Amino acid sequence: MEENKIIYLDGAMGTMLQNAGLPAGHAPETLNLTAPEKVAAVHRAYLEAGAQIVYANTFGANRCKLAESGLSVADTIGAAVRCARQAVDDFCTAHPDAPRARVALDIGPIGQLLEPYGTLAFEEAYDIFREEIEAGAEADLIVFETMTDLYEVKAGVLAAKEHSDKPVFVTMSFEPTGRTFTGCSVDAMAAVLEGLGVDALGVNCSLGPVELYPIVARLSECTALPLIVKANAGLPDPETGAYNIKADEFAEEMSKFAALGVRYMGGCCGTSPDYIASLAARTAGLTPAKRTPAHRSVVCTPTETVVIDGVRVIGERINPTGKKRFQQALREQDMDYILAQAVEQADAGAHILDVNVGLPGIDEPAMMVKVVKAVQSVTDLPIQLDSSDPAAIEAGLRVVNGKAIVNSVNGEPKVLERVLPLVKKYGAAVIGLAMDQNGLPPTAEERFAIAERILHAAQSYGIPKEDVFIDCLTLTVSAEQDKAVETLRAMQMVKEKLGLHCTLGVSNISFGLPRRELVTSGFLTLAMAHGLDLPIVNPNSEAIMNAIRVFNVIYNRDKNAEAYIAACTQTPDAPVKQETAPAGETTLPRAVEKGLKDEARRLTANLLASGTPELAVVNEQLIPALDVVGGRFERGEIFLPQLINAAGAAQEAFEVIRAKLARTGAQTVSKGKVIVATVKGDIHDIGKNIVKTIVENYGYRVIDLGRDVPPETVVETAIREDVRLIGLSALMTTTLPAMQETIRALRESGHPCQIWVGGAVLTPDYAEKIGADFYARDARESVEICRKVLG
Amino acid sequence: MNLNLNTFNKKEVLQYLRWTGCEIPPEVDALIDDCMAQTLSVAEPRWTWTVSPIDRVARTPALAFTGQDVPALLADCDRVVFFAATLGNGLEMAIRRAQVRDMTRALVLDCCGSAAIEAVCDEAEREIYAALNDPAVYLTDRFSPGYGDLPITAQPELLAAVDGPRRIGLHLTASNILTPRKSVTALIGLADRPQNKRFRGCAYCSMFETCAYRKAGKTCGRE
Repeated sequence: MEENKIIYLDGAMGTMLQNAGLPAGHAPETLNLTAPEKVAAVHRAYLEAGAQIVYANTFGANRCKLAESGLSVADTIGAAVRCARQAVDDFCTAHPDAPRARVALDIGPIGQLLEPYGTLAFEEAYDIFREEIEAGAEADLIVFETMTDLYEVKAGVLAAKEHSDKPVFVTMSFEPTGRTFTGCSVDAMAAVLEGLGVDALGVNCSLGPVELYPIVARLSECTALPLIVKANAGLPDPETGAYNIKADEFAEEMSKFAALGVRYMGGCCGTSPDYIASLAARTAGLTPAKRTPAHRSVVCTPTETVVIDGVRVIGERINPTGKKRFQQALREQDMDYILAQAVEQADAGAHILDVNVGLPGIDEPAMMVKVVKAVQSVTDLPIQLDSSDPAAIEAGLRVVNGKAIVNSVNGEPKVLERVLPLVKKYGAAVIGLAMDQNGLPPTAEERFAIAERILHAAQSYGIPKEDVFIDCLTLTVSAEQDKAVETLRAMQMVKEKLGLHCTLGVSNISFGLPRRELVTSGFLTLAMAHGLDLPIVNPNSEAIMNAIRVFNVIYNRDKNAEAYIAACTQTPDAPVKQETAPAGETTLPRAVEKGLKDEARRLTANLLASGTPELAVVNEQLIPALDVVGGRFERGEIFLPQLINAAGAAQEAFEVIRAKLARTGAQTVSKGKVIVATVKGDIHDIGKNIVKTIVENYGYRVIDLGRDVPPETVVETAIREDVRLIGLSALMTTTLPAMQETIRALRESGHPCQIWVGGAVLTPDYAEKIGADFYARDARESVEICRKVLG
Repeated sequence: MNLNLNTFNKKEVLQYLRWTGCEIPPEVDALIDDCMAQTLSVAEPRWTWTVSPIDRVARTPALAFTGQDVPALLADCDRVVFFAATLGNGLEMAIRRAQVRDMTRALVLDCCGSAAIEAVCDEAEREIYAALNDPAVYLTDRFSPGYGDLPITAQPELLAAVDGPRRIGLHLTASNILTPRKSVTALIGLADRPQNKRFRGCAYCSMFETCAYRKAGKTCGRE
């Protein structure tokens, strides 16, 4: 209906209200209840100027921002929407011929950063938005604006889609760099919001129309959805705050957006009804240009967009299948081990990370949420959710930050019916396995037929073709030697006849053969030549990555072999070179004292191979070495980086021991369990993490509850795991009360335990005052406390 | 506003690392240099400021009349600058990532962040002085919530005064911690005569809460 017309939005609300007498520093939303006539007058002025959509005065009406004023979200938003409606009604009465303007529920940022940068949980953000959306049910549409965090936007759009059937518009605020404050790019915004099914998207605030032009130009190339621009009146003067362009110039610059296909135009900070009137006059008769953005296959996080226009590596290592140590880490919820796999693959050059946490006896949906959140707190690579459990897939899709891949569906109708609606709802890409309820067909033609069926099914749910990837599957060549070629042929058909991207778990091919890497990398090269561009591989393997680099040179994708040459000459961005001791002279204690990680690992493996029992390695070599280092630290002969380096080397030695114990199924070496946590409200966790590293190295099992931990979580965990020693950390004077409260909760629970506390602001006196059993000045003293209590 | 940070003080990094004069092994020294370079490459320093006239009759802005210490600092001043600066989220991610595989690197990066944000504040202060373009104006020390008797609970008011969330992406958690973490808010008085660096002493030092010297009953010697 609005296809060929520009639709006008309103301009600034806050400054208009200040001009009407709202005291500075006062929440503009209070006026909805105290002086609705003033708010209605602003709406009316914009309607007179030509606005066809007015934003209700609800920008900051969320429960966090309203808390101080004591107003309820429902009352404030209800009044605001009524006020805007009244203004529209009055305007229509005065201008019976004018088309009826629409009222938008205006939703701004919550005002706190979401995890992992802040403490606000994604689920809580969702609930805050839900409350606003329910309160604004009377509005004609929902607008999220001035957003800088795409994760927060996702929470909002999901809340809108699940609690309203009104159109949803989103505008975000970009800096001249083309990114928001949180690093979100225009490409990522388009990919994620198009997937989530918003009705229009664009930019507002932060810049004037001149500076916004290149950003909107990029956006118009990324999406076919209607675009919105609500620009500031230029840039503010840092001292006076006055904006630097006038109404006619604003209108002139805004009119250029029609050629980019922008359909919704309005103003933000510094604009007034004059600006909207000028804009409407200047653009009368203009039509938003038609656009035909290229269809691209894209997955992303807010900061990292991966366009699949060449070979893109999917790292396969976050997967417990056949890996005892990984299974143990999952069972013990040892996130550090899992995250190390993520970071290692990212460092090795993976573009996308596959995440599989399926293990019998594990709550897979809950674990998926936990691991996805943890992985995206340490890398910005897009995620591929790998599960056969639709509940786990949906749980992952909800909290993933960006556009993910679902791995996988197959040609079985029941599977397609369950999973494809999720893929559509959350705007993901999906991998279709070329098999069905009857298993993997032997010939390329049959696999192709299933692939085609999957594509049609996906399209029937509204999933675009470029978001469907096909896995033609391969079995081991040692068992079915005649079938490997069928996989290659099938990929070629899928690529050429369907135009889809192909993915493949490549390493299956070599199972059961000696020197597997030779077979795997050889097959990988052939597969890429037949159309594989999303290999699921181990990026830590040099042979694999080299095969890909060579392929990119031969196929003229790596221009002038730049990437290849760089990889050949590059020294990896590894930790600074460690001192290497002359071979033969080093002992494990010496390697630990010097912080030599590689040496510590090698020497531990040697000791275990030569029959030294695990416990002897710990008690006779590692711990005495750590004591030596600890003593030197206490005497001031070395400082903190060296102490932690030594702990890091000991940790490597422990990892060798743990891996061996996991393989043999033996009990882990543990002298007892302790809990560590940074208390509620506090997000400083580096000190706590140092304590954890060092205490672990003395053979204690540390249950790390993380940061911002509520007292009840500490109590529940202590009781459930029967932990008798608990370490609490706080770094701010403002969070000390939370520490005291946690101690009180532990005491009141009646659970027998001792508590030690530490952190920058604590003193021994204060520790005693709040009822702690021990005060630790640093990580070394924490070890002494563990020894005293647990032995 | 964005700001180009080219370097910051290595001695300050060592101080945050609680270095007390022992020999620094070459690999640790190299690690510090490397982390300083990484900090400069991943940090996105941004800052913003406003100036308000001080009205002693109306007692506005309210922050200038909070407690004893701020009014004392501003005794000679007719205006007060509110300002905020942040290193952004990039360094946060780098620190979290380092914690997974190399705790030493994470610690050194964290300390680099603390030193770098101080350097950003120093540079911002120079730019403020230049923008005022008045040879007769004198700046007091920077004074932040948490110093002296200015409580952390003054953070929301200060952050709102500089429009921190919208201008530089700086926020507060429910417990008034600035996020991104490596950030500073402060006020600075503008006077018409030279200002003593009057708030010497641990209680007024920005490292007060974390200072290892102070906790060991010593001082860093700057008093």
